Amino acid sequence: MAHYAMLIDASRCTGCAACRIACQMQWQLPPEVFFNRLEFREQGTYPNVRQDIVPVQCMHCDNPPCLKVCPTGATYKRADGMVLIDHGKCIGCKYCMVACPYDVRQMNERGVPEKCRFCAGHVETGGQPPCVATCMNDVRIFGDLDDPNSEISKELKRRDVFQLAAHKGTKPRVFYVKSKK
Amino acid sequence: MSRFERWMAAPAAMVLVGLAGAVNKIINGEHALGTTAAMPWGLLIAGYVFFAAAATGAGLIASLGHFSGKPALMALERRGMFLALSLLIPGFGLIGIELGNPLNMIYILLSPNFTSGIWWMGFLYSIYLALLLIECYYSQVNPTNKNLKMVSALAVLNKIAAVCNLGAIFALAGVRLFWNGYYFPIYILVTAILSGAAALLTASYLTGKRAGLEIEPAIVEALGKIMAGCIVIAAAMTALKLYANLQAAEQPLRETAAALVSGPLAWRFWLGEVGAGMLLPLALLLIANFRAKHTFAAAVLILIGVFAMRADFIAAGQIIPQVVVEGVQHTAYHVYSATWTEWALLAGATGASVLMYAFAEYKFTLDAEAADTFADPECVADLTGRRKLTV
Amino acid sequence: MRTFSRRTFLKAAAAATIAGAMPLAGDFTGFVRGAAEAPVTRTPSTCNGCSTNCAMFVYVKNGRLWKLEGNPIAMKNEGKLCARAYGVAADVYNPDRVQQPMKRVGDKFEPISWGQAFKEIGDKLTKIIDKHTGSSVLWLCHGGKEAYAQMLLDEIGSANYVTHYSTCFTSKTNAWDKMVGTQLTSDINRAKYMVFAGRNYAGGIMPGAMKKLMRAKERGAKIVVIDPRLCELAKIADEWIPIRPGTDLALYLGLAHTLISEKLYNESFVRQYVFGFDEFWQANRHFTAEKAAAICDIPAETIRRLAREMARNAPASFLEPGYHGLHNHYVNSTQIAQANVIVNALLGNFYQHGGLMPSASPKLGKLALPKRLQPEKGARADGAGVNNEYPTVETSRGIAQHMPDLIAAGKVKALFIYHFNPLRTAPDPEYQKRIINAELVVSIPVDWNETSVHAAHYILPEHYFLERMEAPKPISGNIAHDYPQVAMRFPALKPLHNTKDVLDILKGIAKAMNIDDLYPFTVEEDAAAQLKPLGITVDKLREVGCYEVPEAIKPGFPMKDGKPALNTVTGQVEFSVGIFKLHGRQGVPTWIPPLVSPKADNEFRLIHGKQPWHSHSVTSNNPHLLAITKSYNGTWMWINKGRAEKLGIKNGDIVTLEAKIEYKGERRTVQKSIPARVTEMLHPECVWIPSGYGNFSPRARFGYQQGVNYNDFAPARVEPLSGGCMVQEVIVTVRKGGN
Ligand SMILES: Nc1nc2c(c(=O)[nH]1)N[C@H]1C(S)=C(S)[C@@H](COP(=O)(O)OP(=O)(O)OC[C@H]3O[C@@H](n4cnc5c(=O)[nH]c(N)nc54)[C@H](O)[C@@H]3O)O[C@H]1N2
Ligand SMILES: Nc1nc2c(c(=O)[nH]1)N[C@H]1C(S)=C(S)[C@@H](COP(=O)(O)OP(=O)(O)OC[C@H]3O[C@@H](n4cnc5c(=O)[nH]c(N)nc54)[C@H](O)[C@@H]3O)O[C@H]1N2
Ligand code: SF4
Ligand code: SF4
Ligand code: SF4
Ligand code: SF4
Ligand code: SF4
Ligand SMILES: [Mo]
Repeated sequence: MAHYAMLIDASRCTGCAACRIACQMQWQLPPEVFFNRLEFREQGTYPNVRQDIVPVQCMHCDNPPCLKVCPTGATYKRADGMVLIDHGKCIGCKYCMVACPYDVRQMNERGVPEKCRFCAGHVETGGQPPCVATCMNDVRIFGDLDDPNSEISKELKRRDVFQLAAHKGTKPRVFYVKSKK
Repeated sequence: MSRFERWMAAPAAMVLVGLAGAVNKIINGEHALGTTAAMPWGLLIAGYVFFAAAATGAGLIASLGHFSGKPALMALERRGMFLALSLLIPGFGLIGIELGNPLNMIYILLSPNFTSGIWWMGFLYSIYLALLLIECYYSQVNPTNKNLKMVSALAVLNKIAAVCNLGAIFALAGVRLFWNGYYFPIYILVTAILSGAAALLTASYLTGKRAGLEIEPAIVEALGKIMAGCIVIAAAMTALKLYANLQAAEQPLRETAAALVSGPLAWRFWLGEVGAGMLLPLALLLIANFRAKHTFAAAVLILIGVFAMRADFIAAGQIIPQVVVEGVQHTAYHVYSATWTEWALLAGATGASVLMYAFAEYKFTLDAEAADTFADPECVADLTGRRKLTV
Repeated sequence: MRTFSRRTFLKAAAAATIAGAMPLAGDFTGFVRGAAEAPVTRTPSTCNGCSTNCAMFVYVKNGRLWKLEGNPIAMKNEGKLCARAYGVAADVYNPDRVQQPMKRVGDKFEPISWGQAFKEIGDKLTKIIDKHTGSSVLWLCHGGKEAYAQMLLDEIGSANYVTHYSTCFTSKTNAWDKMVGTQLTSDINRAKYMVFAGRNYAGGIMPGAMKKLMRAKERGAKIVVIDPRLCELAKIADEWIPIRPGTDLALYLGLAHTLISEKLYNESFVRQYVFGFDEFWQANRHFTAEKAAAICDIPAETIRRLAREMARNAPASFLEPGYHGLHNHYVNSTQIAQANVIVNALLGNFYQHGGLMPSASPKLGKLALPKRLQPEKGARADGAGVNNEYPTVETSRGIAQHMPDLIAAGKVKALFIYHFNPLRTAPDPEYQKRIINAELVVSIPVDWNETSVHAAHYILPEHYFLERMEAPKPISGNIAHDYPQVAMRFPALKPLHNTKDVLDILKGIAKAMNIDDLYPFTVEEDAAAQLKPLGITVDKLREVGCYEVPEAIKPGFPMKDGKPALNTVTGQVEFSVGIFKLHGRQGVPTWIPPLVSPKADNEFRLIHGKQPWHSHSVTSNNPHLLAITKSYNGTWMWINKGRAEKLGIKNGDIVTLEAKIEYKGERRTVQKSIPARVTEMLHPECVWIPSGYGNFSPRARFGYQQGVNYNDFAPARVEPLSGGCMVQEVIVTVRKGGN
């Protein structure tokens, strides 16, 4: 059984938003529904100033608050680690949206929350998520943690990583490279 | 058109407005609401919490009458039950319309998730509704039924559980700091009783007034005291919570408290929650020593104030952007402004509540002593007609 | 400013759905479910989002566009695509495309059949040529697909093939052409030290360049970015050096001075391959790093350090030759480009790995066509290469921004505007609107752009790029790659509307003018002929999308008979440009101050730049890209925090920009309002606006009136040496509040 995860090196990101629209196209989403976003941080004063750009998407938490609060089991976690939404079971209560510490869920046209699906249905056969594939700066690495030879397994071993809002106990499956600066 | 019908025109119109809102929500879905991905819960959820909590509060007072043996409260038992029903059903209506896919509710049964506060809410409030229906039924058909005692006892537990769980939905969501902890389950319980008492007093006063009857001063005083007591507790809790939050180590907590005290929620907080919900009614109650007219005024103010509390509380939990990436400068607050649809739905629920209650007063016997008078349609018909009715 | 309303989009989207499609806008599950079993086709194409023309594969499911993937072979994108690719592809379903030929009737457009349109245009054209000769006809275009239009111009005797380049980067191409005889490109793959001034590969995107830059970073190469703004490239650079805008020439001269005075330059390279070194040094020997520092606001020590570090890493170091960033902006843009050539030559990095290498281009074949008897061509109408007008401007590119003057002077009677939107992408739209005064204006666009709506008499919509086959395109330019490549566009979708491809449009017009057999071939035949010398077929290219020629180009200065053999008069790199001297100008660059400079507390230089997710004017009507704009306040004007505070401007406040347009006897005041982004990431003396907004075509509904554009504030001037627009010689006043 695979265990999917993602590694993001935000220091490489230049904020082009290709990841967002490539994903929208893969999943045929309307303009306002997007599965990944960027957070911008400006630090210092002119001319000693730097900018950070951090891509954020569903963390596919191992301890997902969104799942805990979902009354119908519409939000569920697969054995391979993907947190997904069964639209047929969703009542649209938006409790998961309130509960997600990462603000990654959005309502779609049909009153069902949406979020990054880790490209379920596309990656199992070896496809790369478009947000990964399109990125000219190779900010993201996606792969299987159970495969010691996967790029992500190797990189995770090699690099110093952290998770966003880890103190909330969500155990995200999206890891971030610690920046050297 | 009878006077009753004429008099009911206002709430009926509100219901029509509400229906327009409902149609718009059903057609345009989420876009009909002012809610956003950042603030997914808005006025409809606030409205739902208001109605459900008030229904539970009214129900609890009704039970209190049942078990306390205090005549003043006992007199309120039936009215309380019917009022609770008239509040609960429109409340359900609100949340039903707020839900994107209410039809999928079946999965609450088929694949229940016991860690979900909303699942428990569905469970506890369904039971509440069932128990209320049973209680109301027996109160009309067979008030002396032996089983009723047991039902009532169950109902009390159920009501306390339901209303505390309502608070827990927020408290246990886990990530919105402002909502976290044991505070809100208790706070909601207290303010539920406050709004339940206020609703009961308002309903009783108006009903009595229409009938040309003075409300039993003991009832006024009992409800008045409950209200005053709840206000004092709620005020103390609010003050403590805000004080603690303003000093808190966590920045989001400080910012949320600031949003209420001096930020975008301040006007509603100070005018609605504090002014209309606490200071004014408390002053009215204490100064006038629970005189009927003043207590009634206080109750109306409390209803407005408690609605502000619900709206503030829902908004406050979400208004501060969550810290996902340390150090990111967000706009200070998320913005949410309710759409006409949301206001229309709230008006609709209020109208429906009034209609249902009035219908109950008109149709059933809610008042042991004045049963005859209340059964007289002419009397009920003028419930809110401001005409010449002075005691 | 109006914010994007999703409601209008939904409505429009609904309309589009009725018309047949709008995959991105629709309910995806419906589509995905419906198409789950449907076969998926994968067609190679090249992106039309900008002139980078990245190679890609287009996935089509159930006859509807599904998704895109970059072609991994193509050196300009190495399998990557930027956001705009997806936006422009999805725009095939944009309801604001022109869906059939249109004819202006008063203020409105009425549908017209292709046959009738060809007939009317052909008749008018014949009359105009009879009366005013073929020289009164001008073809104005983005450029890059010269061949077919050239054939018509040749046939009627017109020299007037004019491209958009004078609005893009002609001062660079001109200087390089005259000094080096070619355009060299940076070998990022092997460089150790790279300086980018006014070149932002992460915003003015070329995906392959970013890919290469990231690899370079990983192997320890240094990246220095010189930009008044902490641009996207600066974000990942080792060093960001803010510069006073308009003063890069001073910096370059300061770098050159340091290299020479400290004897850091490659003397043997200069001795062998450079002409005019002494003339340059004579003219600039007093222009020290200190002098430069006082002008460009970069400490002299930093300038010296830069020069030393570049020299230490030479020849595997370069000052990136640049693109639009500096080369359409200032009165001294040509000299900036000249000084760039000089700094690089001093590093001796020409034709060196890690320095500047030629852009490998495959040698394509040509269709053998019968010779035709054709008239002699008259003088160019735009003045490019014409004595006493703009003699030093490249005739292959021309001058695009002064068409109304040519029309008013009677030089141009009939104007074709192909794949170009001068009303939005050339300076001063109010002036450009007078293009409509020509006797015949035919616009060939895909969408209802400003030019078509406000200036065209006929609109002849071309097939969308996903709907057409195009002759092969060499993948070359801008960055170095060892192997020449070629890619081709194949039709991935059936045409949705009543449109035609440009060859068929030209055939139609030629026929209506009774010119027989001007185009006796199809695009496919042309493609086959072009590919022939490479030994590959059209079908082979259809499989791979992009073909790489196996012979690598080698480093080494071009020599012939033991002598430098550049395509210049001397065969050497010419520090002094003879033809500039011939026309009374200086041959070597020396410091020339900008035309205008901000002075008062509320005055700023108005500068601009690309935003990663928009192209020029062409993407600004795409709902998905506009939604990105909305998410990130993309239309906002950047202003330095310290300066903003003095004017009482807070982040998000609406401000009003005002500029005076005074030229050629015109006097107008332009005022536009926009929210301000208050930031520490910008030089205090300028304000910066993204260049992709300010649409004013009411028929391009999603982007209509969103944001403002730098062209609104700039007069349509012509920089005399290279024909550029000098669009950053503009001072605006900024005040808090809207108008
Ligand atoms: N406002 C503004 N002006 C600019 C710039 C900017 O960023 N913003 N950038 C400057 C630079 S660097 C450049 S290179 C120029 C570019 O200037 P333009 O070439 O004018 O710019 P685009 O917006 O790319 O394209 C212009 C028009 O081409 C048409 N078009 C697009 N695809 C096709 C097609 O397949 N076939 C046909 N027939 N027409 C098509 C569209 O209708 C579009 O309106 O602009 C310069 N001026
Ligand atoms: N996203 C996107 N990418 C594109 C295009 C597009 O439209 N959109 N178009 C393509 C085309 S046609 C072109 S020409 C290229 C253009 O690519 P670039 O030339 O890299 O792009 P620009 O953004 O025009 O300019 C680069 C930088 O110059 C800075 N600058 C402005 N004034 C000065 C100055 O006085 N001195 C210095 N040192 N810097 C200054 C700006 O802040 C900006 O960051 O991009 C190509 N790629
Ligand atoms: S595609 Fe890559 S560089 Fe662009 S925004 Fe996404 S992560 Fe950043
Ligand atoms: S990031 Fe949010 S939506 Fe995703 S699994 Fe975690 S809690 Fe759930
Ligand atoms: S909105 Fe749907 S997925 Fe989210 S908690 Fe409610 S039922 Fe579960
Ligand atoms: S992993 Fe797939 S679904 Fe998630 S953001 Fe990337 S492309 Fe979208
Ligand atoms: S850089 Fe982006 S828009 Fe330009 S051709 Fe490449 S993918 Fe298309
Ligand atoms: Mo350009």
